[in-house]
Amino acid sequence: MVEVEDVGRDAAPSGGSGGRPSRPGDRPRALALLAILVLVVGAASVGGYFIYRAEIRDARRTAQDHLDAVADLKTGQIADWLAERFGDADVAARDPFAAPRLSALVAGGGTPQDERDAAEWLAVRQQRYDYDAVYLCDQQGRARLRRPADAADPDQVASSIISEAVRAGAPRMADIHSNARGDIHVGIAVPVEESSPSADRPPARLLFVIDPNRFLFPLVQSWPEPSETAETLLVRREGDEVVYLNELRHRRGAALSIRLPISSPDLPAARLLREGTKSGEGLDYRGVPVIFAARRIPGSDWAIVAKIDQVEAYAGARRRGVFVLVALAAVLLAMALVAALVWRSWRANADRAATRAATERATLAHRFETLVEQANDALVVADADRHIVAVNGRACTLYGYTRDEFAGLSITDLRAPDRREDLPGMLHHIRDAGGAVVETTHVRKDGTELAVEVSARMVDLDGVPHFQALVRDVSERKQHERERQRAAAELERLVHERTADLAASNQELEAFAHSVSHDLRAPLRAMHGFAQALIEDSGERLDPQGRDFARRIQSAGSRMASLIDDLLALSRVTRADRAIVPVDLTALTHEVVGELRRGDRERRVEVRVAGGLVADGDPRLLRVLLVNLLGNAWKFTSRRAEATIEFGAEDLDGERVFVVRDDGVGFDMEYADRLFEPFQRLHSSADFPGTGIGLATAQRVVLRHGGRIWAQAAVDKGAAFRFTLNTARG
Amino acid sequence: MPRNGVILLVEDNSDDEVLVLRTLHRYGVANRVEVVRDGAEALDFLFRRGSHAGRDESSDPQVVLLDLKLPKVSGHDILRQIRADENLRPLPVVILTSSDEDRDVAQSYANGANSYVRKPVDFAEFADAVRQLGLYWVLLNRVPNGVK
Repeated sequence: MVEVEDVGRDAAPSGGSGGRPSRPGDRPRALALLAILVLVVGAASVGGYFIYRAEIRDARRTAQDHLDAVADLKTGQIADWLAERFGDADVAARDPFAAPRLSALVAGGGTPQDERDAAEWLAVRQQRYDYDAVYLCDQQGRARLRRPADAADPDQVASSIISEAVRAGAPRMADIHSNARGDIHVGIAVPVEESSPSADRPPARLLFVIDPNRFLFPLVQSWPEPSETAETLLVRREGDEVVYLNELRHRRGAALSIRLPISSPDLPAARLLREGTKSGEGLDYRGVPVIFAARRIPGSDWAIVAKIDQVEAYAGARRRGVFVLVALAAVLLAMALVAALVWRSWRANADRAATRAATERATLAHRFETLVEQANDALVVADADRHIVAVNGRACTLYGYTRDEFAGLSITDLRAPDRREDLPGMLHHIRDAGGAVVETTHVRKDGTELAVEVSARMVDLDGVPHFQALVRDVSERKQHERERQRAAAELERLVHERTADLAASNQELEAFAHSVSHDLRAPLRAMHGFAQALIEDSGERLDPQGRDFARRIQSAGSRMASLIDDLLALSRVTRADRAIVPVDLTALTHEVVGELRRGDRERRVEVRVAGGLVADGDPRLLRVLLVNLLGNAWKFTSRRAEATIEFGAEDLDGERVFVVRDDGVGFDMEYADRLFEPFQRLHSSADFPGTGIGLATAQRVVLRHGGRIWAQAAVDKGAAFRFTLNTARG
Repeated sequence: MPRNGVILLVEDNSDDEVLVLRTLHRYGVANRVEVVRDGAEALDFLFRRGSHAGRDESSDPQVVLLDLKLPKVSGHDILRQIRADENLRPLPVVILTSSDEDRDVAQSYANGANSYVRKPVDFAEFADAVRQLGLYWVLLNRVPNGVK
């Protein structure tokens, strides 16, 4: 378990409610999508509706035109047929050959031949024009002669029009009616007209009975093109009723049997007969919506109604409408689908982003928790009453309490008992100032104390103020600090000690040098002085060998003395304080050379000194340096009758190098590295006197000026000593 | 100025004393040389006290040859006391030194030494010093043929 836990409680789920996180961008986006959809659907619906309306309108107009044409055509045909029938009857009635004989026959005259001729005449007409029957009737309407011979007596209706026709003197029609046997007939009666009628003899009558089923009804019913519901009706008004005269397409045995009120508001026939409406929409005898065209047939009481069911008329439009509707629906569906896909894609993208963000947040949170948990500092969170409510793992290891144990503790318990008094004041300060860093002492579970640095501040956890403390164990740091202080003190003490030692050493060295210069020299002085006294005072009493011995005593003492002098000089160079000032080396060289010349006036030495050579250094030490180097050159050129010594400066890689050069005996470079060691000599004392300390002293001087010194030489080719001075003035 | 002035030699080393005296003698310095062998005695002699109390004024030194390293009282202290005394202040003091230790030389001059001469006393050097001091008269009483 790595999370920072609320101690003593179950760990709170870290991921929140776990549901799909709400996204603020969803709603407007969905609304926009929905609005677009609604708009498209609305526009499509309105457009579709108007297209449909137009289609229906077109269909109605087409159907209406059609019906009008049919109605007009049929009206003409029926009218023609009727006129033909009347004309036919009229022609028969006016036959000048037949008329007198027919009338005579009916009047009771005529021969059997006449009767036979008349019968034949009737038969020709009946067969030729396809009448159901043709009658020759008397004034009372009784049939005198009939063809076919087996035809029934004229029915009541037919009989009644015979007298009517006689009265009118013109053909009369017995409208479509059914006789006693149920046969439907149309009868046309016409009085026979003689060109020269005799007064005593009433005219005969002719009655033509037509079966409308033979021609009229088929004519009425025939439709110019195939149609499921189109139909033409023949009607007439009888009082307040509309009577359907012909057989109906949709109802068997309807002829003359259906009667509907003339007041029927939507019935096409009624509307024509009632108000003259010739076309429009209505409900037919079945109550089915139809489009109709209605016409009165001239020369009759008939009217014709051509109609077609709206269902059929509009079928095409409706089919197209449905198609359009379906297509529209399909398009809308497709759009909706696309919209849904787009939406889903949005959602998916948003979800992925949200998931990724959530994952990243979770990872970050987890990392952060791990960091907190494994932090080097202990983390302790307490509520306003100081009760500890959360700790990290480091706190457990630091104090030795478990999380459960922490839950029962207050931060007071973490303080060392003697440091608890100032806690309330500290907490008060933290509340006021928002935070504080304090060094104090805490106590572990096992009672051991530890020095800590507490960085505390107020934090809001779920809106409730808490104390949050980062506790750092500084006992180690304290320990280190103490050790460091101790070490520093020790070091200082040591420095003091060493400085004192050094001072003492210096003093001792000085005392030693002093002692050497006084006391070591005293016996030498005596040796030298008394040897001298021996030679001077008792010389003549010694033999030459005795005098030589005395001289050797003297020179040995002298050598010893100069050795002491050189050693002292060397130690002086080492000990002397430096006072760095600009030193005119040119002048100094002239001075030293002057001394050398005074010491050996026999020598012929050409000394070339470069002008204006000034360097920073200690004047006395530099003098020692030049004395040694120039003295060396002077000494090692002593074999030359005419020697040359140079002092100058060169530039070597940007560094100023001073050089003392001679044309003396030089030396073997093989031993060059031993040149500057004390008491090292490359020539025997017999050849060139010396102590072997001069160059060591010179090197010491150069070193004390931060410089280098080196030599270059070859046997009998002279020597060059170069040195640098690198002294910061101060 | 009394002629044939007394030279006071303050020297504890008998070898050096012999050699100094021999040198002076050899080069004909005939002045009387009073020798004292430690610093305390030197002061007694100069201030005519102690064992030298009641010393005749005629034995007052005209020049002092002073070694620095002395028993009891060092040459530097003697020099300081000479220079601190009103009567003795003009007394020429030549420091006899066995080395040219800077410190000694510097301190000697600081204390008022008139000159210094390295031992063993080389007469030429000594004469130089005397000349510098303007004390040639001290040597007036030279034995004409100084070399014995």
